[in-house]
Amino acid sequence: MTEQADLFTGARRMFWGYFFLLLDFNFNLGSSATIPLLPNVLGWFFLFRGVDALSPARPSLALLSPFCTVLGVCSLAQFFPWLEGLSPGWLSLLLAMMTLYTHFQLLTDLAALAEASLSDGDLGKRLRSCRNFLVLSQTALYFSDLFLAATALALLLMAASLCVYVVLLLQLWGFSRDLEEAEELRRREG
Amino acid sequence: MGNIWMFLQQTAAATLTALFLLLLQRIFLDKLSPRWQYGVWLVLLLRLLIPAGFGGRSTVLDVSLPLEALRTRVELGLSSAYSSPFASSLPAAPVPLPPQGAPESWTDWLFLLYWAGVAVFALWFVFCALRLSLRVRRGVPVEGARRAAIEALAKEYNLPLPRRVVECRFARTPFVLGAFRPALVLPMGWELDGKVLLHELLHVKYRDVWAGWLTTALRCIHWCNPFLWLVFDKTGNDRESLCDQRVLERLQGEDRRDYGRCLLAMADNKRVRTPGATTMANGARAVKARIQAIARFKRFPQGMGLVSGCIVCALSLSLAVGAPASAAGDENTFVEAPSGMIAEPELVAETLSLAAQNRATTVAGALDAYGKGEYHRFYDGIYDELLCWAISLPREDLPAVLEQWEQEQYESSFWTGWPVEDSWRAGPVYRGLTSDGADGYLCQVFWFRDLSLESENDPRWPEEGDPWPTEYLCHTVRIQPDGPYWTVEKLAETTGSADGRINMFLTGWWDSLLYGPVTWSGEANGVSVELSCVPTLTSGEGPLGSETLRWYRDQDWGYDPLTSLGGRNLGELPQSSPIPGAFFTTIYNGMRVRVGNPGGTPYNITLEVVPDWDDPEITASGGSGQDPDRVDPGEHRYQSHAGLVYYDTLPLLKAGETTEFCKHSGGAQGSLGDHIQEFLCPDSFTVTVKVGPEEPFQVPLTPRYTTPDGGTFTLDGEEAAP
Repeated sequence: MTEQADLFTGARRMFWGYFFLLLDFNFNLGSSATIPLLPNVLGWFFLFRGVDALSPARPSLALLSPFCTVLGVCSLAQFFPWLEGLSPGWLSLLLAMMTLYTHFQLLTDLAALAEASLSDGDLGKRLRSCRNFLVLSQTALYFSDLFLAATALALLLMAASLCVYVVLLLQLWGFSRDLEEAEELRRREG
Repeated sequence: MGNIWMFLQQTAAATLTALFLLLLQRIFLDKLSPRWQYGVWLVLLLRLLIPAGFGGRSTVLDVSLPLEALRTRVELGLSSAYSSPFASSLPAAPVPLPPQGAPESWTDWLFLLYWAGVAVFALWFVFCALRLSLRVRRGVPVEGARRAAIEALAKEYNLPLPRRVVECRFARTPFVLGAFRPALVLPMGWELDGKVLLHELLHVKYRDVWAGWLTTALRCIHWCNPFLWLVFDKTGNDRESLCDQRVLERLQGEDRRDYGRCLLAMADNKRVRTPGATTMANGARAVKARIQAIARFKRFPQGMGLVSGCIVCALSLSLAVGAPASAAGDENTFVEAPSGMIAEPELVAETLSLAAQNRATTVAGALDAYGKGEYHRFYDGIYDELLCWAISLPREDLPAVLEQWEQEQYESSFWTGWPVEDSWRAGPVYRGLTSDGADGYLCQVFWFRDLSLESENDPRWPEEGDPWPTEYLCHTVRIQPDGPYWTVEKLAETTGSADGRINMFLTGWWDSLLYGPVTWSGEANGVSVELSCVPTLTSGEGPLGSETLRWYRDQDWGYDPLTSLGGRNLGELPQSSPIPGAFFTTIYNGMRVRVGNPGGTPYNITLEVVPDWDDPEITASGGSGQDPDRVDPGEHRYQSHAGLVYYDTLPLLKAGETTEFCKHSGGAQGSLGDHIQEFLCPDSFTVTVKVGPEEPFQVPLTPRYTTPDGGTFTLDGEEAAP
């Protein structure tokens, strides 16, 4: 497998990772159990595998492997809503900070990879813009959860975040597709 | 911080925050820049400067409740001058305040010791700084080529150069001294090293001496917390690491390695903790950590400031500023007492500290807790009663209340948990909320129980279909502000027969001729008039225990506390825990009117009653009477439900005859909010009387404080008349 193919595999895993993380659809079975249709644990697993595939090309990504593992394990709580009340506030805060940083660093590295491996320099910029919006919206959502009683504002924030998520997923899909096309081209030329 | 508990609250909150930040720093050690590693201490600074629990806010790492319980438990056995078992120990300021009065307990002495420690450390640090400053003043100014070289370096990197650059014999490494007029101090005869000088000049540029002084001040305040001292050392090291990072960002290639070697050369130097001075050599261990940081040195990606800023903001709000207590909605926040049937010191302390943290924030909240206190004397756990009293009563009354409560627990040697047969089982219902002329209010709080009748031969035995007679217990109370809280003080206690029609769930009470807390009376031209404004109010989820009253004559009626739900499902019964931020939830308007003809000829009387409030923004909106066209509510901003304009033509009154009745004009229910104007009885009435065909005239009225049975009482320091 060529390096480009590794990049494609890694980028595609990143897409699926974010797909599972950013979109949440659940079956609620009362207060004791929930069945998430797009479980976050799968998202973190894909990101972990993506990091694994991309870290030879971008060593700083390797620093995120432990974070993906920890966040993946903690996201299992998604299946047990009653655990949420038992989790101490400091742990939630710690996980929120780790999540924020992981998204930031992942998207920073993906943007750098996009610039290095594709001729399209705009993709890197777009990924960085998505990264900035994602970090800001997640921080704002965290604040709204903690401090804002205004439902309308929280809804507005969620709607804005959803738009950012969709744009980000499109960019990630575009990134992996471009890498696939580049690999195909190389294969034909080779 | 006025007592040792306040200091403990503040230092414990800071300690936990520092622990969390150290954990976070460890996790992000190789991921976030030294700028972030140092900047994150801003969160600790905020935590140290914002008093713990300030404004009733709670943070993610809140330890105030266990500390409050400990304080209550310890102070219950003492008679301290600086602290009390009943007053919250959350600090109002982040700095120690001078002790008030002479110490009377060991906790007071501990606070004095702490205070003395603060003073000693502050004096010691100031002395050290002055001594160093005097020694530097005797240093030799750097002139000539050496001075020019330093100036050139400052110019090259666009850094400020301190006015004073001196050489001192005692200095082992260069350092910067002085917050207002910084001086660069070099060891005597030291061979100039541009990288070390760059480090010190960067300290001058970023005013790190100020940060050093701030840390020193915090060391003094938390002198007896060794963990925080270690943390302050760590902040100093992080400051140096950040300075190293800034130096490395300005150097290239071999110079960076040279800089590392400079640091290595200082690894043997001892750590010198001098307030108001920064030095590159800060001890072997710190230098080792800094060299490791240099080995990790990298230029962080663009946008790192964004995520760092977001993380610091989130941490500041979660760990230092905290979320307002009202974020979840006070109106729905019940405070639940510890469960238990026996008085135990730990649970008493827990209950009192719980109450201290959940004092009543609304008038309805204070009445709600007060009213439920009486109810809980006979129901549920014994701590519910104590909690209710402690939430609603004035702080100064709590020692006596606690003593009485303990006495009652001691006396109730046989406690079954079932309601006592003759207890006041249903309530509370509030009546006649009136301004007390100052910042507070007067009100009547009612509880009810069935009248105990032996047989049908009793004349009070009701006719078929009539409601079973009930009797009432009434506390006439005064609700007063205590800072942001409200307290309830009992003024008078009355019992009697509950006349009038009370609805099934006790939310409405009509036709009752019982007096309100203030009664206006007067006489003119042979006509006497007496008025009492008596709107009925309830709070929270409504009165408790209505299911225990025997509403309709039923000879087989027998009360079973487990099965008698008064026509409601178990889940529909109101919550019995107090709601310190409750709002009124129902109001039924009412006015007791009494008109008399003290003497003279029989006549028809036309009566017009117009309520008035001192607050010009309140006007009456309700109306009642036989001639509603005459009622003109006029323009108003507030819909006052409590006052009604009354117009009526009374039947013929013979000489010496009086008539009395209760007029009502509807009401409202739901969450009525905290707009007290909605519920307040008038401050005065204008009564216009027309006798037969004669010209109308006004009856001047004089108010007096009344109990439901017409008796009078006085407020502290006032005459009977308000």
